[in-house]
Amino acid sequence: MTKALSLAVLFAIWEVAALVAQSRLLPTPGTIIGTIGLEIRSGEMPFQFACTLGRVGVAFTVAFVLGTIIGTAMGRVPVVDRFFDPWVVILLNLPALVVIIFAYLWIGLDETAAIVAVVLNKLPNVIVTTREGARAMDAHLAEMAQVFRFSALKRLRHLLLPQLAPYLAIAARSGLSTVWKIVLVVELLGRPNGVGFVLGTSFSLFDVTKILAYALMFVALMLGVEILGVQPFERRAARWRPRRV
Amino acid sequence: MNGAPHAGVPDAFEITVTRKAHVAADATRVVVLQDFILSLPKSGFVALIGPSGCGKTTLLRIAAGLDQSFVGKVRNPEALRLGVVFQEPRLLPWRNVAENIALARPAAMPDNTADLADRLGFTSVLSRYPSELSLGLARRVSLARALAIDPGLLLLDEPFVSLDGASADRLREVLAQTVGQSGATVLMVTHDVVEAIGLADTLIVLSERPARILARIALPAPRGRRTIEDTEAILAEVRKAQATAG
Ligand SMILES: Nc1ncnc2c1ncn2[C@@H]1O[C@H](COP(=O)(O)OP(=O)(O)O)[C@@H](O)[C@H]1O
Ligand SMILES: [Mg+2]
Repeated sequence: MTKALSLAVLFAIWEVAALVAQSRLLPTPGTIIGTIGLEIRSGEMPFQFACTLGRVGVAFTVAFVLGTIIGTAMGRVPVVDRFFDPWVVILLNLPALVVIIFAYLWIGLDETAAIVAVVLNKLPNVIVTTREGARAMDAHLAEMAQVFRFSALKRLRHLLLPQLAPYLAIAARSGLSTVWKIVLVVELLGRPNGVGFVLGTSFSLFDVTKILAYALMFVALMLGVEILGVQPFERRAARWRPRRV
Repeated sequence: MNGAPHAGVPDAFEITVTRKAHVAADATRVVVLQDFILSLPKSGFVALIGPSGCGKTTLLRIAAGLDQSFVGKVRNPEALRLGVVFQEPRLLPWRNVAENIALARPAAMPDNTADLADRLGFTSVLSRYPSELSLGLARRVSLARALAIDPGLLLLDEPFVSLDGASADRLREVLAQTVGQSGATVLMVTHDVVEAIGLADTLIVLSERPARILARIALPAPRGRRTIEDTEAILAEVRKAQATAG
């Protein structure tokens, strides 16, 4: 309730400010909603969002799967941890922009380079978070599984993943928001389509209405994924926890 | 009869520990077991009694194959299937009671969860998660999990601690019945001498750390139905063994 009110107030202030300013640089919410409608009907917006969503989906999945495997290995095997730790630290501290530029320079201005750039930016976060989870695993339960001869698959499903789940949820949550943002930069710098590309061209044309239309839809979409995707997963993973009364 | 192995009955399991030391956090070494040999007769029920900290859990972990860093060997010639009741219940918190039991059971085995739950008295919580159970109930589930796999060798580490008298008696009875029928070989750690006398047919009295065998007492048959006089006599024998060590 409070949240809805807060949003309504924000839009009201915006409306008033836009009416007072009467500037091309600050369109009213109504103008923007109109533009969104036009863009959707023309098929332009759905296409650009599909391009971006596709990149987000692929990059997120690759980074997540790779990061989970590497992070678990590092958390469980000290030698692996010592070997890869410097790499992870370097990747963590490399500015996203540098990674993107070198991906385009070395691989070329293509889709692979775009995905690699996003994955490399996201990977170290997933690794560090998963490693934390793998280190915190319960040795008593591992012994129980050993004594009762759990198969590798049973161990994965009933021992490893449930213990990693809270960490994976953290990685997914923070991961999704970083990937979204980095994909836009990647598109801005070297792709002929996608939301980032549209924002770039609109910027050079000073088309503030279009920029705001795409930005608003983008935020709405991120919130949708958060509410419909991430939160239900977290609730499911936390089912067994003692309920607070 | 002290120290004498069972005549005639072949050994099903043998633990030989020439030396086992723990390295404490401050890097000092604590010798827990030295020149220790324990053989379990086939289908026998051996109870280990010893003071707290003498090395009982360490010995069980070695027997279970969970601790490999010791000098010696563990022989399991018939490859008996192992069932363990740990000192703590060790249930998977994210799986409910029925799933915890089912997961331990090899796929080929018939589902006996309902029967065990009924006999051990936890049918009403089969779909609950471990965090919703009292410690007593969790212990029952942990015992059921070990019995559910029809173990050839059952290791129990103080399984009835912190249970009220009546439930402990019920669990002991189910345990005695089940292993009596299946012919499982059992090694149980306890510090309750009367409990040991009630369940076991061989009593092993351990010394302070490093654990040595002070006495190996063969109990008169039948297991589980000792008279008060029998119990008193055995109790006296245990006390005598412990006194000579001190
Ligand atoms: N992982 C360990 N590291 C260091 N010392 C240990 C460890 N485990 C047990 N000990 C010590 O070894 C001794 C025997 O422990 P334990 O076998 O658990 O005894 P019990 O089960 O008979 O009470 C105790 O003095 C204990 O403090
Ligand atoms: Mg112990």
